[in-house]
Amino acid sequence: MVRLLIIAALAATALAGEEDYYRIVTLPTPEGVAFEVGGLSVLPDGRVAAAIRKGEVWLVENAYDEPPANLTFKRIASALHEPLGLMVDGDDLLTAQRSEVTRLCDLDGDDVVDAYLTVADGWGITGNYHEYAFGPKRDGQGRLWVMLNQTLGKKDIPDDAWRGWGVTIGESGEVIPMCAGMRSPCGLGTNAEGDMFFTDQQGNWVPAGSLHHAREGAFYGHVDSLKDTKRPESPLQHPGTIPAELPLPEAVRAVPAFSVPAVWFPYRKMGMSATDIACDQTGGKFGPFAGQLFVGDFTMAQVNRVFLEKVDGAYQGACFPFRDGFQSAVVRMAWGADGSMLIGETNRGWNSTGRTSYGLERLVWTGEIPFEILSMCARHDGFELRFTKPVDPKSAADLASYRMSSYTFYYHQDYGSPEIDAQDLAITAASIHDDQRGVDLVVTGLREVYVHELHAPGLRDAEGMPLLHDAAYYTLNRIPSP
Amino acid sequence: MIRLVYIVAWSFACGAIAQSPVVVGFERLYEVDQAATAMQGRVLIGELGCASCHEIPSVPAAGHKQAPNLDNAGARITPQYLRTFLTTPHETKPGTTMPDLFAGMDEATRMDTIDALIHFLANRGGPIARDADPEEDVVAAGDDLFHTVGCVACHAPRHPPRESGDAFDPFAMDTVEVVEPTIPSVPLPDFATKSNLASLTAFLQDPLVVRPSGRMPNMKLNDEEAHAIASYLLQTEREATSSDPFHVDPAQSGRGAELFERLGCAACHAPDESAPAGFVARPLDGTVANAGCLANAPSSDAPWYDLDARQREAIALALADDATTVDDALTERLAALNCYACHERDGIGGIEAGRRPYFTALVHADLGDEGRIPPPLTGAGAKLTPEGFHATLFGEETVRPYMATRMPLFGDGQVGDLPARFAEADATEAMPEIDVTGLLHHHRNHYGRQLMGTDGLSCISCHNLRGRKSLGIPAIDLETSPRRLRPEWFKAYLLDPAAFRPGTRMPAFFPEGTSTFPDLFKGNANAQIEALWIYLRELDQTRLPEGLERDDSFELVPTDKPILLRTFMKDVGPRAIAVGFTEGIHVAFDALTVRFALAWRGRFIDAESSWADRFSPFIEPLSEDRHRFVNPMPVAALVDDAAPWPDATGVAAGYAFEGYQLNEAGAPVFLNSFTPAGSDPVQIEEVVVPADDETLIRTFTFSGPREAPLFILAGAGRIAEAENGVFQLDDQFTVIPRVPATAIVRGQGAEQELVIVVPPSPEPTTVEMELKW
Repeated sequence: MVRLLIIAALAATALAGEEDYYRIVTLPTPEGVAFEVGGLSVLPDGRVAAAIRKGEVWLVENAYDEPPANLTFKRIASALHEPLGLMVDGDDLLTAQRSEVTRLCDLDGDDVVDAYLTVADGWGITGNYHEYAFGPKRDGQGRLWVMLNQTLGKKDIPDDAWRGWGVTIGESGEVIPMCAGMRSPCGLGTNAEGDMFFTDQQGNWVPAGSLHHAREGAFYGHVDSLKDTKRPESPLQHPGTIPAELPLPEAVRAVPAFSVPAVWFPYRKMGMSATDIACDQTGGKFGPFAGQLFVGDFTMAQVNRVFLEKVDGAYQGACFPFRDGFQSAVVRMAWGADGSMLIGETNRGWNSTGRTSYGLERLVWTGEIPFEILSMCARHDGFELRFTKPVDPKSAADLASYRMSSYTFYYHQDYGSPEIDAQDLAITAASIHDDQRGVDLVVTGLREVYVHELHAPGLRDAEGMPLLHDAAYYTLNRIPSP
Repeated sequence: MIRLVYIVAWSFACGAIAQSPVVVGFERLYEVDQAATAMQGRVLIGELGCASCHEIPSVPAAGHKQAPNLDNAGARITPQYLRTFLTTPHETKPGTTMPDLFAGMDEATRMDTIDALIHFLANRGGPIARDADPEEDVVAAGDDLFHTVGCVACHAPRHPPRESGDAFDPFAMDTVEVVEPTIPSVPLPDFATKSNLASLTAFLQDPLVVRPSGRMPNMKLNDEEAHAIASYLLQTEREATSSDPFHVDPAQSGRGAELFERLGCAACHAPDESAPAGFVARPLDGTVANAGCLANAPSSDAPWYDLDARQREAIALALADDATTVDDALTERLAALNCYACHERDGIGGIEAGRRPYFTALVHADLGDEGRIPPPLTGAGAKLTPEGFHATLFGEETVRPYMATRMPLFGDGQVGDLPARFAEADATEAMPEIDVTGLLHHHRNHYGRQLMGTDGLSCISCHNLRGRKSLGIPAIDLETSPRRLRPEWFKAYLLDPAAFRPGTRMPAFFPEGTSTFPDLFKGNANAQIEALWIYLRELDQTRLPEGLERDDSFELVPTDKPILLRTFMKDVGPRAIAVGFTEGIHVAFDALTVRFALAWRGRFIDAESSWADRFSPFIEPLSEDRHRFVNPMPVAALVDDAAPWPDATGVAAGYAFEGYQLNEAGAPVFLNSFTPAGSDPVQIEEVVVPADDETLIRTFTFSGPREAPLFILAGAGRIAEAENGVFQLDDQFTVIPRVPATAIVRGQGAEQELVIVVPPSPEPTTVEMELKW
């Protein structure tokens, strides 16, 4: 028995963990300040600006030192109403407070904000706690986007226009409603092409965490937002009576303008509440995942990874576990000047795993490349996988190295959805690419609007190491033509 | 009016009218099996009270449903209802389990018999008098209660759901397809004909007095709630058929008493008093199919239940089969009491789709469906201690106060043995071992406390503890856990919450058996869970965890410069900007209507709910010494100085809030734009700052060329002009215009207005006034 334990311990030390590739550096924050990060942005000079939920903005210097012993914090703004986004705009910062987008200007150059100028305030707010506003962020066309949470529960005053909508801000500050049906779109961000995406969180009408492509006229599911389709500015026609419960594939057919997410994050397997979106444009400083999206998770205090492709003009793709073990709910992510990922955390109101209620961390690539599934593309007869390293041909060709299943969800007013109509799928062929860095899997029984969950526990790289994460979850909304 | 339309449209829509007796437990089991079974038959035999008259060798008589106690029937039921019901029970109350006892009699005997019985029953405490009509607002409250506390788990909803989960928006609810219940509902009589307000209220408060078998359980309604629901149920469109006084004929009543015994009424309605030889039917065994009560048409020798083919088949199977297991007996009990209406166990039951939207959370707490849907009972015997089970069954403890529905009370006779039965049935569940001695670690309390608090796993982020609100959502108070829960289950649940509650919001803190909090016991899940258990067990002797125990003060006290707080504020709005000054006099600006709303003297404000709470309620100043800025909007463009002041505010008045800039003293200068109809926008900078602890200086600066005069409403109400241009207003500031001093008082009595004229100018103009407390 003792001997067995020793062997197990030796094996464990030999196996690499996430920390060998991406290490977490916890940054000490000012004593006595609840540093609950709601907005995070990096200035051109590398200093880090963080908006915290009590309504302040802090400027952090020497954030990249390791160990993080020389950080300085300066409070540069206060009295904001729960800011949940922060972006640099020229010499100013922009933030979304609950009721408005605000430009923060330092007029006299002392690094303290003197003017809090309202850029846009054309959405309703009833005084309900759930009326968060997320953003702003700019897309590739220069449009400034804000995502507005759905009101949940009591309304103190009746003004609830555009709750649950994604809006852009026009030149003169007008609010331009774009798309409806969000429940709690806690994060938004562009991909490398400049298209805007947002996440949503499981709840009523939202079966699981999701990543959506934000675009004009789309309806993402939460029905409370539909009341605003009667306003003349609405780009969306009311879709008519919404069925009380339908499997997603049927809902896609039954509900006009209904848009399913590009990627589902199956509940628990891939977190419990998706948050921010960060596209790796570090040019390789953050490792081998250039151009991919990273998506935070609140409850599980982790960061997941997303690969997207376009099939028939619509985005879809896969998510992969990436890194867990952060000290608190991952709510905001931003790229540091050194290519590390800054992580802003707060779990007030809900809980998360981890050991603190808030804070600031950095995720730094160690320079070692993990053996991971780099990408997963849909094919008419299966999937193409690419890896970060050459594979061991024997294990890669062995069908027993893989297993796959698929399932979908209910679209309904209940809270979340179980995985339904699950099926194990047969993988009938695995052909290795010539460069040994990819494999084509032939899979029978692909189904549209189903999540296709892949595990590859038997796969080894050329050195005999297993995948760091052997799971991938592909949201197959469309099967490509041959 | 909308309500009425709903009721009419809905009651026609809501399911087929059943003639055969509605036994919901049977329906629940039939739904699963899709064919008749002996178990369903046993449930029917129990619920129809067959054992009241028959000896049934294959089915134990214990626990069968007793018919209503008629001791005081006259005080509860009108004679006219008794007549209709006894004459045509299946038509009067479709789905009733009361058989037609007189189906085989000739018409004259039948009428005569019923007549005698009515006199007999009316004589018992009656006859009932018609009492006051229900009040409308009470009816509305009763409607809400009826559709939320759980009545519609068994009875038919009377209108579509008004809210569901997140979807609290009535406009949105109109958008969602309404699914109707498919499982038959337990029928209700026409109460307006049958009863009166006092009697129905009394019944609802303690239904087991009349219906001792608890099939109509006690919903723990207080006086007001019972009165409201009774009012709602009595409020139907049908008028009571007659309010003519009824006179009991003693002779008839005496004859009725004898018939009551002889015809077998007493066997069901008064089994304790019924003479043993009063009425005995033949034994029921496998030989009686399609005869007597089980015949498929009314006959002269048996009561007529109007059973449907499924029901007759199930009963026949039960009579031919006497094999029951521990699990069967429990399933039958849960079916008989209709626990399955709300609870799922081992794939049976749970709230059906058409009724789920009526189950809501009392506080919108973001607990997901766990905040509104009663918990499943799968494995409940392995989960709950006998004491915990008992406390729930007997209403000694409400563990889920956030749910609108309530765990009803069924009575000792029905549920007293359930804890033991569940324990027996679930004894085979595999559970992990847990050391609950607490001996493993010295200072063990300390460790559990750390894990529970914000410096550990932070359970109190979501869970209430010892009556203290959590830091976030109000998930179940953990204080009760050691009493309610078996420690093995506690451990198994923590190791994998989703295995017990699929879809639960409870995170997995111990994925794959390792704690996500590595800083204690090296993340050893066993040790940590044991420490949590020990801490909860000793909670009453120890400190609250970090996070709940904190005593930070969130009061904002301006000491060297102004303090601003943007928040939700009462009497200001959801876009309040409160400004606290060192002088001890403070103001709040409303960015929604674009004007100052409130001023107060004394302490400034407490930011705790804005900074540390999740629900962020509307807050108030820390002082009662307040003045409101009463003007609709402070600046308007009037045709002349006699034109009435416009009522519109904010955007509708041509205003836009453009933010603020801090001046050198740190006070906000509000930047507003005002666009009079047909004119160019005027920029208005408005600032209010104290001069001392009883004086505010309010300054307007207008810029942008102005071709017409603007007007400032400096005060309204009864105005007494004192000397030197000091204007005193009732209950408000005293206003002293300073630069320039052209002020007009207009209007009469208490409707006066103090108006300052701002002349046209191509240059910026400043107007200043003092506001004295």
